[in-house]
Amino acid sequence: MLFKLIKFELKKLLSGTFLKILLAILLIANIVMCGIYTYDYSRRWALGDGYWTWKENVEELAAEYLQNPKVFIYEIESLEKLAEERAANLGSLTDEEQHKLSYYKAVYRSMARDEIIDANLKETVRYSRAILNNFSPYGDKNQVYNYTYYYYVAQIYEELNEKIEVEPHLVFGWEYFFGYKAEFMLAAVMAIASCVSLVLNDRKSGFFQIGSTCRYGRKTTAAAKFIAMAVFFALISLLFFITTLITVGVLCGYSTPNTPVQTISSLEYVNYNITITGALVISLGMKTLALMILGACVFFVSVLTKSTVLGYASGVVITVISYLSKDLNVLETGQMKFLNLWSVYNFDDFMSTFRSINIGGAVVELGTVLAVIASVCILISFGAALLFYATRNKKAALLGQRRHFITEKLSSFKKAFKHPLEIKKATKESFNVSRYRYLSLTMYELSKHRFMYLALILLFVLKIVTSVNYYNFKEYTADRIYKQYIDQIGGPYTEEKEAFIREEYKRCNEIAAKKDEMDALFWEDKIDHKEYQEFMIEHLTTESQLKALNELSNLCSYFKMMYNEHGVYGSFLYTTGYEAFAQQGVDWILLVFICIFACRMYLSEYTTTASGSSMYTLIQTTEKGRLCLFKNKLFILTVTSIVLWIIFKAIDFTCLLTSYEMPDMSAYLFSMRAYMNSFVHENILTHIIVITLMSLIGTISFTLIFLSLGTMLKKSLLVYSVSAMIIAVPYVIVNLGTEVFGLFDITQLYDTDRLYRLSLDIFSSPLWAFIFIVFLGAGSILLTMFSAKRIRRGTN
Amino acid sequence: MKLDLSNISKSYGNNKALTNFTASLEPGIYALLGPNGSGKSTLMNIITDNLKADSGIITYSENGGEPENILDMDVRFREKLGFMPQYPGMYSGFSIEKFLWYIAALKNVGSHLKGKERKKFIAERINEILVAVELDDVARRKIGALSGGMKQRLALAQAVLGDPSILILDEPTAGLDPKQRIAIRNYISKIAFNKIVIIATHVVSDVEFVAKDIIILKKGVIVDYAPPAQLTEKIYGKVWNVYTDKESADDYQNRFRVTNISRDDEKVVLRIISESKPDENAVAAQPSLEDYYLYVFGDEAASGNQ
Repeated sequence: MLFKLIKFELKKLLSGTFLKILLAILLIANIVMCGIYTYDYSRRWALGDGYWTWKENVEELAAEYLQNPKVFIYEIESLEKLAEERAANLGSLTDEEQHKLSYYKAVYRSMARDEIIDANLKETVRYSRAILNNFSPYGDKNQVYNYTYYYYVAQIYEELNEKIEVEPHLVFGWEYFFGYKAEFMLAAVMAIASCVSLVLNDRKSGFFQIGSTCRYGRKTTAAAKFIAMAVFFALISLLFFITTLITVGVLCGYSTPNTPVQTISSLEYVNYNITITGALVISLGMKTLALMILGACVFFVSVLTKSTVLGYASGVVITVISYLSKDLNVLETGQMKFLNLWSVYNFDDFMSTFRSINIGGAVVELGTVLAVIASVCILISFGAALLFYATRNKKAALLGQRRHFITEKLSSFKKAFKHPLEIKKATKESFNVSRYRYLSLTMYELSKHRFMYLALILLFVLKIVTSVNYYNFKEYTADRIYKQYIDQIGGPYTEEKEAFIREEYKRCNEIAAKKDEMDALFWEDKIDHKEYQEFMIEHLTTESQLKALNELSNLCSYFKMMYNEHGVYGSFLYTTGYEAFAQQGVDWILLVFICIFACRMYLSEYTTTASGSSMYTLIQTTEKGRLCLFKNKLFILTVTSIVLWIIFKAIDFTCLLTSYEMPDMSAYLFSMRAYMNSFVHENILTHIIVITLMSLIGTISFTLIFLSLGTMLKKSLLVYSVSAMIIAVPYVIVNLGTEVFGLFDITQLYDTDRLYRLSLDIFSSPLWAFIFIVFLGAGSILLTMFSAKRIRRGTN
Repeated sequence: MKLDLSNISKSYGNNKALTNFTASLEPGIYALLGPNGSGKSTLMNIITDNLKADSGIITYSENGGEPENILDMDVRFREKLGFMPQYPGMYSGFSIEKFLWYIAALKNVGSHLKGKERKKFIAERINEILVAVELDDVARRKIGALSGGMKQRLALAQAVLGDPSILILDEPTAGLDPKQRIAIRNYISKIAFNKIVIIATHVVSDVEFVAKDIIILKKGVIVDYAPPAQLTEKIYGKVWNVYTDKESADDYQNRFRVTNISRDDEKVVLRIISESKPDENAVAAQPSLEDYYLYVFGDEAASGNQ
């Protein structure tokens, strides 16, 4: 009987139109997003250092390597030697030569994986053994844990290194399959929706009253639902897995999967001797496990509360917490941060290296901890299903009684005092119903959408965490050295500054050239250790110094060119902060919230009840129910959007200014090469203000567009689908490489700096950006006026 | 005050919901009688501008003034309107009291007053209506927690809240028990003074004794339009009581349109509608409006019984 019931539960799930459509949409979204992620690399092969080539060329070169690896390596060494010689004479490799070097090195890195893996694992073992001396197997728990941890690491990777053998071959495709992470969010949405449906649809439809009176209608049904959920989740994982696999396969192709998983660069330190095929199987299992844990939690909440809202809310909260906790850079959580559903779902997060946690000094593998947590979650949820699935919602009834009791008591208390404005009652004594309320339509609108405002709390948390994480500046040596030079020569270009750069370049090259000589002197005991060490310290920074000076030298040429064209000099700037500002991208949190809120403004009125009528049928027959109400809704939406925009920008700017320096805002904008075609006398501060205001116009425009869509289309699924397409289609096309479509990418209403730079790139003037914003702004106003007219005339 | 409906027609694809509906309404209660699908709700929605007619015009005039198209009147017409839809959709998160205050805000109730006086006026009005529809003791209950009958009464309450001149009620007593039906009927009758009240229903007893005129709608077409007494006159001599035994009762049901079966000791009393005397023992009965309704819609009623 249990198996029959499981079959029926699965049939119920699969026969639901909503779930089928949702699954189809999510799978298509997965294909599209995976496609965007992978497309850039589908035909191109990144070589590092900003260079790339076509994949066919890489395959040719790989074949060359296989023919004669020694000749190949000789080519690389020759080019590197040439680079050193040129550098000694203040020169460098030509662009073509540098491209060739990057090209050869990239192919070598791929083909000689065996040697590289061997070297890396040996280094890991050596490091682990060396660090053992810092700890002790006796003493406090931390000491014991660290000792045991590094001991295990050394042992595991030493054994692994002996077992791994890799044939020379090009590795491609798999890094993108394992690197694509967005799948989790889509699968989680499907899992939450299907779990809540499974538990609560019977109650919603009224079938529960019938089912629960049948012999197998309670515990057996509950068990069947739980097992059906597990089966369904396995199916969902498989479907998403297959769509991702096929998408990456079609765009990039795959190298052979019968090779150790360590050949994939992001999985180099996986501590198991498994092939890529084995990793795929484990990955599928982990995806299902992650969804099961999520589903178990949602199932538990749904069964206990019998509330659809709480069921969905619990799923969303768990998913969001998982997403946030994966980026816990700001907290020292160690390996614990990988115990979240996002990391469990994505193989190359959880399994990329040996992970363990300290439990009373013992090294406990994270996989073991995960297994325990998963078992506990699933068992508790299953137990709750059996015990509580068929119980009446006693708590709700109790709460209702309590509320009634309290209001009755309050009312009799009030009756003891004379009401200041006595109300005549028609008949018998009853509740005093004459409390005064407000007459403002705005207040009622806020009351109708109070849940959206509660959701803002979650949104603010999400925004703060993502901003803090994004604007988390890590200073690298190269940055520090570049900044040191800027501190010396910052400000408008002068010939003296260029001379300084030339002198520095010469000095650094001399140091770099002196290394071999100093090595020889040291080994021959002609200089002491102290002198050698001083030289080495100076030498260590020359590479970064030369890179910085090269950049500054290029800037000098650029400033001179701009002077010839426009008659003004640019300024040397430390641009890290400005680059972070420019790369903010689309504020998806704000965009999605505004989309949902604005569309919902009228959709909530059009929603039909179970009996088939909507509140709007009533509203539009009232005096203020048309244009007046529309104006109220528009006012609330616009104010909410503006306030949210201000708060979100404040969060962004606070995080940005806390983490980065943004010096010399009065410098000309064209001092940064990306803004070469900007207005000549436009300074950085003006630019920041202008594009920030442009994004405000963009926010208001979006609000108006979504509100209009809601009033005109009226059906939830249609409105949200069209809204998603308006945002997604141009965005997808742009990210597929067709840059010119960026001119029409509506999401640039948020990412206004990108719009500005695109306008500079294509039209050599920022005018297009302004035209775009004005055009869209005007268009959104016209659309709103059209909607208002329709509302005034009444629906048909 | 006069509401004129001239040649109102509406089709949904090939289905003609309303065909050339014409009526002239003055203050009083008008009943729209007809089975499901006869066009009552369509007409209601056209009058309230929830639906646009394919053709025809509705005009309104008062105090002998020029008739104006209600579409041109726009807000001025909606000021006078109170509408209770057939299946009211209301905010389940609002309490009854809050909902009525919201409707008061939408209808601009008490606009001739200001500040606290206005609020006092609205509070008194809400109080009065809640007592009349027997919802005063549950005023703070959420709409989502109300029974079907309570929601129906709340829908009526919001319709009458603005003291409208034109009251459109679509199935006002659906889902109510007999006591509540009588109470609502009496309440409507009481407030209908100097108002045009249009009640759409297929429950004859709701309107039999209160309606000024009955408009019979069949498949979107007016079949008849007259006061109740005139309608029942039309079938005078066509309604019979037949006393028979249990075995013969089935035979009569197969041969005639039987509108009621009751028992009198050992005899079965059949109320039959027939053009001619069905039986030599049949006795002519005083026709009721229900008899007339069944006389007009007899085929639909019979197929519904089967």
